[in-house]
Amino acid sequence: MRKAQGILSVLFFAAALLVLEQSYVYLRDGQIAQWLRALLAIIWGVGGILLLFTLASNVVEQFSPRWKRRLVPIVFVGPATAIVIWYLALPAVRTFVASLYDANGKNFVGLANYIYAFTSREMLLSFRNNFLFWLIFATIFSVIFGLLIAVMADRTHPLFEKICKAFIFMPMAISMVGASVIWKFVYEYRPAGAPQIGLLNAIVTGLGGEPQAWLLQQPWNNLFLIAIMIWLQTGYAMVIFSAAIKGVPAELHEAGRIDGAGEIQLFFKITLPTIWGAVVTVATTIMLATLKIFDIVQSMTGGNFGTQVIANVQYTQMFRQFNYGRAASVAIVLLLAVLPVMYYNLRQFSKRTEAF
Amino acid sequence: MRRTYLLIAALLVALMTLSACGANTNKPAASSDSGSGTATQPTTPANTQKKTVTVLGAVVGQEESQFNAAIADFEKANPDIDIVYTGANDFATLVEVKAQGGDTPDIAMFPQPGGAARMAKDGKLAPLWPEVIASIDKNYEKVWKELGTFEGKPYGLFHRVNAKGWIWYNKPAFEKAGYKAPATWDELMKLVETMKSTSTAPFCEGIGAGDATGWKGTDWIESIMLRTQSPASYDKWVAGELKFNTPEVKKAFTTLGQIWMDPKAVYGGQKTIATLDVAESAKGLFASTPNCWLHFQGSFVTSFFPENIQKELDKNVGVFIMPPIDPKVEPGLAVGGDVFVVFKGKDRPEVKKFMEWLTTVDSTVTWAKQGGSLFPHKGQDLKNYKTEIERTMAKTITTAKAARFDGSDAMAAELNRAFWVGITNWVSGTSNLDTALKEIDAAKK
Repeated sequence: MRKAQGILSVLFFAAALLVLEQSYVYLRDGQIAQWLRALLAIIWGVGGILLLFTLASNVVEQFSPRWKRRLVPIVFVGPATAIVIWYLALPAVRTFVASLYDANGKNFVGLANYIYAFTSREMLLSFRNNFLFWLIFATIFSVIFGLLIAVMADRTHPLFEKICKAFIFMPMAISMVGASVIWKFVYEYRPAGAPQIGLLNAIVTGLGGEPQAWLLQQPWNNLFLIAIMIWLQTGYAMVIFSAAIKGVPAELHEAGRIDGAGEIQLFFKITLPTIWGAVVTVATTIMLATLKIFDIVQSMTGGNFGTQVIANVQYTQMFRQFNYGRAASVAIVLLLAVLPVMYYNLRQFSKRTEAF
Repeated sequence: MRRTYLLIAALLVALMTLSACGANTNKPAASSDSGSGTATQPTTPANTQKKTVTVLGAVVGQEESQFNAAIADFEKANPDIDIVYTGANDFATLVEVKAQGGDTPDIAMFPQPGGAARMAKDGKLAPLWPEVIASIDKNYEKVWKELGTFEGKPYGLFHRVNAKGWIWYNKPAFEKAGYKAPATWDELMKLVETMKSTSTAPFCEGIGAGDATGWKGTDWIESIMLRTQSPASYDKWVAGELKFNTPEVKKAFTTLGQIWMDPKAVYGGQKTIATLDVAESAKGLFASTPNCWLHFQGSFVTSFFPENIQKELDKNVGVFIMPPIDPKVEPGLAVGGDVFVVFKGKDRPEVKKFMEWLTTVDSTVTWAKQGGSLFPHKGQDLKNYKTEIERTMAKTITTAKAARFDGSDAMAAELNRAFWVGITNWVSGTSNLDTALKEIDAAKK
């Protein structure tokens, strides 16, 4: 009886797979109304997964308790892992392989693409911009501004705090390209004498100065691009810090005050150490974003005038120069640059969650 | 336990019935997708036997609707064929991704023949049919067939084209000042000198175009090269055999430098050249107080002009072609345009019919009448064009013997981009001329 049930459960599982495959083909090619197709597809997806998991756990149920304990994790985590391997790990390996081949992916060239990635002027410039400018300035200023606003807002009237935070958080709702369009107008340059349509030059000329071509002034133009990133990320940092600050027990501050600590001392000796975990998480998250920065540079300067960054080199090698080998090697270099930060980020995160 | 099994069994039976229905309808629908042309779609009898040809191109916006109006002529004459055109701003990226993924359209219109040449080299394109080639021989100057020939085989044909090297001016202002179109480069330079003494700058210039910044500068260099070098030497340059860091090419840059590097010859000087958007810079001619007397740009510039100017083009706008520089060199015409190619395995009869139609004069009439577009087809009626300016340019194009394709667009992709970047670095002061030229050469694999 037990054996029969086991065979039956496997059969059901196989049948379900077949049915799902067939209904997929039907949904793809069948002549049905668009809305009905969408509805059925949702039912197919959600119901199909439910069905497969139910049947798979049914199959596992038939085993002895010892084997059951071993198999259950595979059934439940296995599919997700498989998807990650298929869509992330395998492409990464394939990218690495491609990075050892020439522009068309036909001839093996060894490490030639990596020589390009580590010695070409374009890439050296990108390393400087990514690591020296973006990583340091964008991260530090986003964190400092976020912290400052969170602490200040915490001490104002609750309604005023809400309004302030809402405004500062708003840029988060704008895409990086959208933000670039806005800031292009801020930095817009017209020759002296002509009406300045850029905000910054309108102010400068209004005060009697000469209009500046902001995006041409190397290496400061990198900082002008970074200002956009800070404008976008401060809101994110502020929200996380604000939540963390609200979690600092009031008794700690009280005790500090009784011991005679000033407000600045309170911040550095009590608030900051308590929320340090949040600071690290936010900083590493912004660091990851700055290493991978692409949209702002692409839409503001296209990487010209000494503002090139790694991700934009990857894009131009791939889609402007059609050099798959070089593009792949740059992608691998970027991946390697991001990994340590990511590792640190994850470790901090798990430390914090364990602490709670 | 038993009840659960019953429930599951019932569910499975229901799903199987559903998928059984699916399996039946699936086949004809799938084959009509593959476009064999014999399938019928039962639910839409109106479309019975309509064959679809998909076209992917970079023509978008107003030009897209003009192209679609031209396509409508073909569809009227061939009611059984449906041409589906998709315009994409990021065409170069999209066609690359599609070719990699094996999901190609039937026809692609490459604005840069370099891309089509690469596809041909990779064996992704179908060569043109002999009948279509014969029609090209009949309807075009020889140069157009050569421009669509890759690896020794004709793969592509041209329909709407443009010509570069024109210098535009604000007609009323230009005539009021008593200026005359110069016949030689020296006369042009003399005119620039005269203009410098007025309160208006001689030239408006801007090469900003996102990550394609610099292409406008390459147009200048190409037109100068076609007036200082022999066609053979120009071809070698485009093929990458004549390096940038040579006296020949450097001379073209220094010639351009006479204008670009003279802060009084260009409105706003080098900073403005590097940052101002290409289309925006053209508007300077017709600002309420004009910023400049002259503007260098291809035939497509008219669409950048303000609307009230476009309405009465002949009254407001004057144009002359860049004058000869070296008296020993017969000036060549720099042309551009989308090259139509067919992907491998897509050379079905209906695709051929459409491609053949594009080579005929009939296909140009509707589009020419809408204005803003020029065609290289021989024997077209110039009266179809709306303005005298277009007629002048179309005549120049159809009769051009020494036409050369826009050099940077025909160069290898990495050289093309390095050219853009190099000229941008030079004008923005990021690199001096020698470094810029060396860096362009270094990009070549």
